[in-house]
Amino acid sequence: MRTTTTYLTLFLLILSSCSKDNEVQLMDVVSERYDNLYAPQSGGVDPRTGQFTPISGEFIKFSFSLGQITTSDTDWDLAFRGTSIIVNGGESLGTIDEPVRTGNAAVYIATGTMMSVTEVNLQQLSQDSSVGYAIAEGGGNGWYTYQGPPVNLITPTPGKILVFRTNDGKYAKMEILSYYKDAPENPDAYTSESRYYTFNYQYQPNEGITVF
Amino acid sequence: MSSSSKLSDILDDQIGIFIVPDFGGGNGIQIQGLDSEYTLLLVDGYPIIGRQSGTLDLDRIAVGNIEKIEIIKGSSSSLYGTDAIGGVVNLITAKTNEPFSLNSNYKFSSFNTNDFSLNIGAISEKGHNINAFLNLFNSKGYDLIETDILNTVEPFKNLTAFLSHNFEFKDLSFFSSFRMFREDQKFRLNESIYGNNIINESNFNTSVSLNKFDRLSFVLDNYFTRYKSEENFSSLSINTPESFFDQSLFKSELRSIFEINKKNKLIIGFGITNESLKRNNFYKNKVTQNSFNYFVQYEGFIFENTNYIFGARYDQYGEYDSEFSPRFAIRTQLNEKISSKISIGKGFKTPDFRQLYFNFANSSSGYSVLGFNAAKEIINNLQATGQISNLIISENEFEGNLKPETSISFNFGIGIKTDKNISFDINFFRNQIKNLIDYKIIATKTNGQNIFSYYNLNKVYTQGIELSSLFNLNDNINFKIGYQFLDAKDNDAIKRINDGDVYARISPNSPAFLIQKEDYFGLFNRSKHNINSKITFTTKNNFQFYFKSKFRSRYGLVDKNGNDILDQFDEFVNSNIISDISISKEINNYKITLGSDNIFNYKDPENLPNNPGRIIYSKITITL
Repeated sequence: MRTTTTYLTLFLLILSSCSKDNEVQLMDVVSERYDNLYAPQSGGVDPRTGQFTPISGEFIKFSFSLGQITTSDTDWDLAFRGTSIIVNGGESLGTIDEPVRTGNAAVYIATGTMMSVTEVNLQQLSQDSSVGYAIAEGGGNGWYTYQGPPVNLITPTPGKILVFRTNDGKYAKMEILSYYKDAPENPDAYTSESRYYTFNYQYQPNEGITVF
Repeated sequence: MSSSSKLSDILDDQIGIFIVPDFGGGNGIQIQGLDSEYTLLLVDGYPIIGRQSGTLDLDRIAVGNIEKIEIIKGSSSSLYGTDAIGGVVNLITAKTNEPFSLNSNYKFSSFNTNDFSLNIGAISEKGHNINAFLNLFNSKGYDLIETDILNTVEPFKNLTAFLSHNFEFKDLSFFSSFRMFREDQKFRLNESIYGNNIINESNFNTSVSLNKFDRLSFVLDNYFTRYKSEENFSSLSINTPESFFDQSLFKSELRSIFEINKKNKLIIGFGITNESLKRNNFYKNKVTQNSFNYFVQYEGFIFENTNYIFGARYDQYGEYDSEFSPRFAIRTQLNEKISSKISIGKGFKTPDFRQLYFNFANSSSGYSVLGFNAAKEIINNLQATGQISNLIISENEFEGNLKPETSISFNFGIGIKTDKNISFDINFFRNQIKNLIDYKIIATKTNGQNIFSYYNLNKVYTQGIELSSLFNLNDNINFKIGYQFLDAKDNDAIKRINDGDVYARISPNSPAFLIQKEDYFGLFNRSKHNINSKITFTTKNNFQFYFKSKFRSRYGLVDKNGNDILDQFDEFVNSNIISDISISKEINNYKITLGSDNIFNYKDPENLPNNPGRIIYSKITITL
């Protein structure tokens, strides 16, 4: 039994060193921060009249491989509108101005830090659907905590790491830092401009690699 | 002596009692780390109502006719029923001992505040004891943040009137009293919406005792109270609804007291309570509730030096589970100087009508809050019409009722009295509370709005040490000091931290990290250390100096980093000391006082809107 284990270990060592040789051309993991991605929305509740109109407005799309926002109809991974975040995979919920999903993107929310989440758990990935987004909406359900009155602040919940499969099957992880313009030290729900995302992300540009 | 005429100041003057700002701007009493929602406030044994947002505004109660304040710390629902979790504060009104007495005072203080009181007492030849009290109060209010149009406290005026009557006739004794309060305050929502907020409160009670029998007596109490508050717009406002709150309470109770012998006493009684509420943002037009209660209390001796009280009460409700609340207390006089006390008791607080029937939508922030009972039906309707995009709770969470919040409280104290001039008390306490009601998101509507409702969510505990001490250096100098060490935490938060589920972020520019057990600070608005002390000094020529200080160690009000708990990386209100000073002089029937509250002008407008800063006042009192 012991011999078998030793052989197996040896075999694996050889195998892994072989694969190391092949990985020489691997691209580096991209670690970036994106500031002030502005994702406005129209509609909702009018603060003056209390009237509700359906939420609308273009989702602002983001592509990990570009490291930029994009207006492409197909080459995007996730998109933002107000507090909603969608992925380019699955089905549309059918809200006004919601883009068609063309890719195979998916997402889940891991608990941890950018340092501690080192591997993608493929089983947990899920896509948007006609009954709800993969990143649940509402404070305390998805990526943020809503602090009720009198504070009324939207704070990215610490310890929530969004782990993505991109529209073309690669992986990325993201930590949202702020929902207010220029990520102010002490945001104020009444004076700070909201719907400005600041986030850190890491993108694994190599096909099929699920570790960062 | 403090020269204040509002309950918040008088309670603040009690050693070992700590007044803290409540959510909403009022002042609340925090007993053993429990909020004012969990303290029952009584006048002559009858409860004060009108907790519009849960807490009772202590500035509403004028105390110019209060002779004595009784404070029971720890759960005592065994005698008082609901709300007596943290403790009970009973204000006893004064009864004159003289054929005629008159006492009047006028106080003028900063912010153009006028405070006038009049007390008149009379005893007729036939033994009718009548006491009347009037207080008139008005203030210009103040503004801590001058950049906006709103004042922090808008101008207001109020009036309190009180009349009581005591009479003994053969074997019967009668006590009845009437109290009314009216307040008129300006309010302003913004530049174009403004008006007045009117509060009307009245209380009426009668109590009859029958002492016809040798060792057996009966007491019948009847009490009615109503609290009504309404906003009236004087500006044109199309879309802002006017708010109103109209609560009434009727209580009737019969007690029989049987003195078995000199040392053993048995009290048995039962009561009925009827409570109703009409308010805006409510699921029903009017909510009413009847409850019945039965109680028993036995007082006796085990040894010469040890007495005990066993009490129990059963409260029967329609809307939620009935509650059985026992309490046991034992006191031993170990020797002439040292005594010890142990008590263990259960307390409870029924869900208030808001937690059951609220139906509130905040149109500017886009969320709604539903009471537990209202949520059952409203969610069903919304689902049927396809307006719910995400139901977060499961259907069966709607079944059953919202449970009362309950606590088990334990106290152990030792009192030492060396002689007339020095006393020292120490008390260890622990309150374990379960089924604490809090709100959480239950569903998201298709329009993206969140719906919150109330649930029995948390388990929390408060524990600590209370010390109080009194030194009379001589007849002219008195010194009192009270200290409280408090550890108040959420049991579930501790578990989540131990499981490694809670993360924090120092600033919006830094990544999150896992927090450690020692990073957890505890419940919001709790200081670990509270100290209050006062010294009074009387000179030979009748000058009296008074100096009071209270210290509060740092505490947190807001979870800044969004992890739902208060940790070291959130924002804190710094430790602070607030000191009051006064000097008064008595000349015949007159007494003149000059003083300053918060003399060192401690302010924190952002966190403490109900602290206006330094107040300077003068007061004149006439006693006949």
